[in-house]
Formats: sequence, structure tokens, C-alpha cells
Amino acid sequence: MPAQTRTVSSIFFNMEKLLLRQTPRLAQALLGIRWSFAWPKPSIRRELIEYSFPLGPVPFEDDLLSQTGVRLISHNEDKDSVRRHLALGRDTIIAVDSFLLPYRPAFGRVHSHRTLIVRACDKPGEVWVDDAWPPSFQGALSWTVIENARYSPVTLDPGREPIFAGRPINGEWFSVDLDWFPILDAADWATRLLQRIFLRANTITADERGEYGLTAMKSFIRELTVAAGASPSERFRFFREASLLLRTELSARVYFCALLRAASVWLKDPQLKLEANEYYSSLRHMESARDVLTKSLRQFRAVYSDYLLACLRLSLAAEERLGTYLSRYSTGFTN
Amino acid sequence: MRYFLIDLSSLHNAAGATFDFERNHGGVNAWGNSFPAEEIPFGQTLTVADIPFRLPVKDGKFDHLEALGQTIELAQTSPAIGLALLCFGEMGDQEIELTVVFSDGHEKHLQVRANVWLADNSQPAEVTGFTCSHLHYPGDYELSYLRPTLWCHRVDWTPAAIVVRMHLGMNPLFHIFAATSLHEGSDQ
Repeated sequence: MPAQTRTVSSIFFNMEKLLLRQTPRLAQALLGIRWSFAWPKPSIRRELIEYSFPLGPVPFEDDLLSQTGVRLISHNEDKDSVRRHLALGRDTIIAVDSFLLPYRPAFGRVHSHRTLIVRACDKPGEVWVDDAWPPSFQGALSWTVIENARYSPVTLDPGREPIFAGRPINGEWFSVDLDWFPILDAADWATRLLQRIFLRANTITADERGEYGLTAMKSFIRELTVAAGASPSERFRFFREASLLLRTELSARVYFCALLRAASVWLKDPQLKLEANEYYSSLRHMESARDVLTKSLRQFRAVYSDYLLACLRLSLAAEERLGTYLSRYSTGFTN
Repeated sequence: MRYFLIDLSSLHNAAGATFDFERNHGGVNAWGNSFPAEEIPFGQTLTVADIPFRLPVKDGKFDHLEALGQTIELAQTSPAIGLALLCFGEMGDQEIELTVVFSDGHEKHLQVRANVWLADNSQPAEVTGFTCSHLHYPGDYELSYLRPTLWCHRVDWTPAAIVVRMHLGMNPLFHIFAATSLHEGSDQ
């Protein structure tokens, strides 16, 4: 990976961590099967959270399984389902509210949702917690404490936590496994994958849940322009959802770049790696837009709009440039 | 080395520090954090990495500037060899383009970096930064994990030349508390 480090959402980081144990060399690339861009309808945007999966015409989990063998399942069956999974010796990703975690600096002070990893440990009534969110924590914790942290309204308090709160958590957890998925010919697999990714990003533009691809990005930019001039409450709502959306989109792109770099080796296409590195560098524009949107939740100036639009137009240009290069892999593919 | 401490007060557009009694007015970032004003020598000279910076008097809402494309006019008479900024990046390391315009009309386009202002308290302080003992949070609580830092970032150029103005690039996440131009020679 190039020198600049880009932050990703906690769900992606934790998925990578679990996959690294199963496939050390391919973990990052396998998570990079989603490119495109999604601009969901308002009812779906309202549900965005720190650990949302990237949206698309096909659910991210389904694509991941069919294209890579990574079986990512979101669970919320019953209160004991996660304990049964842990009892099998399986690492598990759970959603928590930091307000309820005693080792967190903000314990009892600030509600915020995200994910962390837990696994069974030898001592009855305890689990081993692997929490990478700074300040990171690894250690045993009472299951009662963890269970308590999995259920919370995560009340939005804009003064204390304007972005990573505002939607309840109700015990959701995630399993990540790697099914048997033989890749007999890495070059052929990479070619088909890039064809599929390119097709997805360029041919399916809308469904009942939202818009996709470059069309979606243009719609997003247009609506952001309008929202910047709206009432403070409407602007807050829009900017908050937009920041969370960009967090998810950026996360998917970081791993997409990992896939492109790996594919450049399998396909003996050194230019692909250069394009991937150029694109990775250009992600700073989307990152900056995400961060100024977040900043604007507390204090907004009209001049920020110009900056946001400039960043997003540069992002759009980077998407178009990469798409132009990837189009060479689109020929001859039928879904 | 001689220094010309630049007055940025007419360009101030942001509040970076709060006193204890006004923590809830903090607003460097979305979470309302701010520097502890009690620890910053406003109205005095602060030396970081051996470079002196003139800090403004803290007598109003604003005490520094977010880089939003401002122009800094200078009335210098001696050639400068560089510029130092007392600055910090919000939400990560930040960059802006800085255009330095010289008296003979030519310009230099420089990329200036501001390190992220927050670091966890286990990290040792660095000589290129001025680190405060704690971070202000809005409301009735304080978390001890993070400490804020003002960083000295220096850019140099050759040959030495008289600077007439500087244009700041646009990046709302790039914050500047003070600026000092660097000149050859020594103080008497």
C-alpha cells in the first residue's frame, strides 16, 4: 500500500482482521470487490451508521460470497446466537455502544456506535475483546458487560457525538468465514472480477433503493449543493448522512485498490498498479469532503460549500479516469 | 537567523482555544474540542523549534485562521529565505498550497503540511510542536486520552528575496495560529 494511510470503517477493519487469519495474502484484495458509488433514497440514508456496508443493486454480502467465497453474514436471530457462535471457537464481530464499555475514555459520557471483535476465552463468564478503535484495547471482559453494550438506543447528542450515533443497536453481530473457493487461474479470475465490477459500476444506474455509479455521484453532488443552502436542521441531517455515506464508500475503495494491485500482478499489467496508486492518492479528495462534512455538523460556513464541491468534482474525475482504464477489461463479459 | 513575526489578527476567522469557564464554546472540530487557553501564551512570543511566533491577544471570539484562500500582505524590506507556520491539521494531517509572491513579481508555489493536532497522551512531545497538557471538551467532562499540539512547519527557498504577499490555499481543516518569515543574518 502507498505511504498515505486511509481510515476505513470498523466493520471493514475487523473483517480484514478476521480474514487475515484465514488467508494472510489475499484478505485485503478479497474485500475489494465493490467499486461503483451508491446514492440511496432518503429512507435508506437515514439508516446509515458507522459500520454500514456499501450499497448496491446486489447486496454486498451476496457479491462477496459469489465472487470470492467470503461468507459475511449479519445476524440478529436471538440473544444467545452470538454465544453459541463463540462457543464454537469462532471470532465474532459485534456492534457496541462505547458509552457502555468500561475501558473506553468516553464510558458513561458519550454514546457512539461501532464494531469490535470478541472471542471465547478460558475463564467462564468472560470473553476476549479486540477493540482497534483508538485507544485500542485487548483483554478479557465480563460477558455481562459486553452483552449490555450490545443493546442501546445510542442517543444522538449533536454537541458530544454528532456523527457516530443516532440509531439504536439491538444485538446485531457478524460472522466472517472463507468458503472453499478454488482459484485455479488467478489471471482469469481477476479478469472476470474486473469485468463484473466495471459492468456493475457502469450499467445498473437505479433501482427502488437508489442510484448507482457515476450517475449517482453526480446526483449526490447536485443534492449537496442544494442542501448547503437549506435550513440548519436540514443541512445537518443531509451532511451527517453524506459523511457516513462517504465513510462507507471510501472504505470499499481502499480495499478495491488492494484488489487492483493484486490483479496487476496476476494479469501482468503494471500500468494497472500505477492507475491503482494514482486512484488511491486521489481518494484524499473524497476523504477531505467526508471530513469537512463532519466538521460542518458543528460549524458551517458558506465557503465550505465551494470546497466540498471542488473535492467531489475531483473525486468524480478520478472515478472517470479509472473507469476509462478499466474499460479494457469489460469487453466480452456477459453476466 | 533573523525573524519577522507576521501579524495575522486581521485574518482571524476561527476559535481554537477556550478558557476553562467557556469550554462549551469550543469548536475546532465537530466534537467541540479546543486548546486550553490557559496554557497558550496569547499576546506573547512562543518559541517552537527555535523559531519565535507572535501569538495574538485573546480578546475576542477568534484567535487563529482556517485556510480559506486568504491573502497575507507583507511590508518587508529584507530578503526572506523561508517561512514558518505555527499550525495544525484537523481530522488528520492536512496540506495547502501556499503561493509566495516576491517583489520582482515572480512566485513560488509551495505545498505546506500541518500535522494532526491530536495525539494520544502516551506519545512523547516533539521539539517541533507545542503540546498542551489536556484537551478541552464541551460540557461537564474531560477525557484524558488525547492532547492537542501546535506544530511548527517550515518551508525554505532560494535565492533569498523580498516577499510582498502570500496566498493561502483552501482547506478548512488546515489551521494557522501564527507565521514568521525567516531572514539571513543575526540579531544584534
